[in-house]
Amino acid sequence: MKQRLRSAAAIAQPVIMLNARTRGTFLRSSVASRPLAVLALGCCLAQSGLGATGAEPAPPKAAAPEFSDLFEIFASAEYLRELDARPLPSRDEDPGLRADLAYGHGAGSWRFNADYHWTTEHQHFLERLQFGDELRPGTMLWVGRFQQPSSAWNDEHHRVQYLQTSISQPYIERWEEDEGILPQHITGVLLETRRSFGAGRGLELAAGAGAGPSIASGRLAPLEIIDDRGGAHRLAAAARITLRPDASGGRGASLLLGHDEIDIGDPAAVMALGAREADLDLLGAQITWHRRDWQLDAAGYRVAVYLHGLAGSRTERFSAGYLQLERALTPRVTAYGRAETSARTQESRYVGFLGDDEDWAYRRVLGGLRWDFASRQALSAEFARASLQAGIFAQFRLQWSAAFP
Amino acid sequence: MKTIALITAALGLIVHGAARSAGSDSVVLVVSAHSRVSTLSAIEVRELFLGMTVAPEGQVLHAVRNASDTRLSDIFLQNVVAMSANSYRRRVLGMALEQGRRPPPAEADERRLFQEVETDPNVVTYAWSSQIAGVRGLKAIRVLWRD
Repeated sequence: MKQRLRSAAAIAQPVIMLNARTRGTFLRSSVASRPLAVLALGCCLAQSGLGATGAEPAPPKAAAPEFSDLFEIFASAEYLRELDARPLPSRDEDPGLRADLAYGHGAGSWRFNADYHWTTEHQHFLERLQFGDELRPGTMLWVGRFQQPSSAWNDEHHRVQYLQTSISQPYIERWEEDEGILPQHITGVLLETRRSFGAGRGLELAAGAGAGPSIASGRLAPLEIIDDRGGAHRLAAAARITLRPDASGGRGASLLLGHDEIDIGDPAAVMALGAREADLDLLGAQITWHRRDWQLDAAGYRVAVYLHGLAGSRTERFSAGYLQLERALTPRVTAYGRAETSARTQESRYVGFLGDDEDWAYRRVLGGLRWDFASRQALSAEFARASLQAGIFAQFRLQWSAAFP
Repeated sequence: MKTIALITAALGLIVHGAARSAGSDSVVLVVSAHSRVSTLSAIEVRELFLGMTVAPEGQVLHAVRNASDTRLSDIFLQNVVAMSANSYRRRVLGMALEQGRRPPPAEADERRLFQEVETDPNVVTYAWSSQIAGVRGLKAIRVLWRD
């Protein structure tokens, strides 16, 4: 156990040193010990096996090293057309080319994961950088930059267009650089574990903690591994607990939890929000269900944002959710529809500032078709009708997506 | 006469039995005859072919999909992973991205596949039981589907 803590702490050193290059709020006094405490907690939880009985010996790790390399390139090209005469400055999945380069390396129980994201809209950054150890089959401990497990959609689809049936993401799940209002990344420690029990049921836990985003340049700014300019990065923690009726199957129900302490360094944000700090708490639920040709994905979030740090403080609360239904019409063609809704987001200054008053759709319905062709390529078409502050707008999207090789 | 009738009836039964077994086959989980693994549960089989780590008694196993036969692939998708081909492809890719390692490969050349299984006690695949019957270097450890 001590050896495991020492080795885990050694791996975490580069991450903690990266944090030190920010304006250091995360590393002060009582907060300084949090990454190591979380790391220790992660090791304890993983070692305990999360429910393994005391009499059950821990299964040994791989006896001999085995090597596995993953290299994938994901690409997509999208065309967006506004169907109304009024121009809409929408940043929801801007059209253009996008690519993600994913590399993974495994040696025995050790893993390394890196994703680099690039678009023609001058967005390019290291999306994920993780070092991990499979402590026992089904239990991974990661250190690095990862996606928050409290996001139902992004945890399943990552940032890969080819992996999601629809072209667009739900508004509540948008990435930080796309005027997303929920934190999507943490740089720290992530524990993922799964267990089977009962009559073939499965229980999964993913819990992460570390440095979260700040608000800078008008948006949530997560810690960037390369060239971070996002200001102070404070504590973020997120978890997802999933129950599956058939272990490792696609169906399941999840409870989603998140807590982010967000530094507001942007002067425009300070003025707009009347605060220097925002503490965001998230409670959500997600269901995935499929039967024969049908699949249902639904999620709902309840968010509370406590804004403070200047004269006075206040708490804003809002909710958002979506339901997506898909049907395989043929083995290669899938039809889908999604309804998104929200409550009290129009009254929230936090949503108005980050989501952009003009751009935040408090309600949207869309439908589309996806055709999978060749080996790993797809063509999709989607029609959407969104309700924004300025009125109701309709959009049409066409997308090609692929995974290589 | 009686003897002839009895012999004819016996022959008839033998031919009938042979005809039944020739028409029916099953899909079995296959490992090397030298493998220490004697059986895997349905959950372990599914996890293995989704790219998750399965290590019975400390032996880390690797799955290789048998892509030599279209019907075999259909049976695998319906009965082992319970997904359509598209869903399986995307799910396996998503798991690979999460874990940072390659998804289970597929082998379309059955001879090469069986050679790989025979020589590596950690490899697991599936095949028609009739095709591995009599192959000394392989053993079936679970019936995945029966006609």
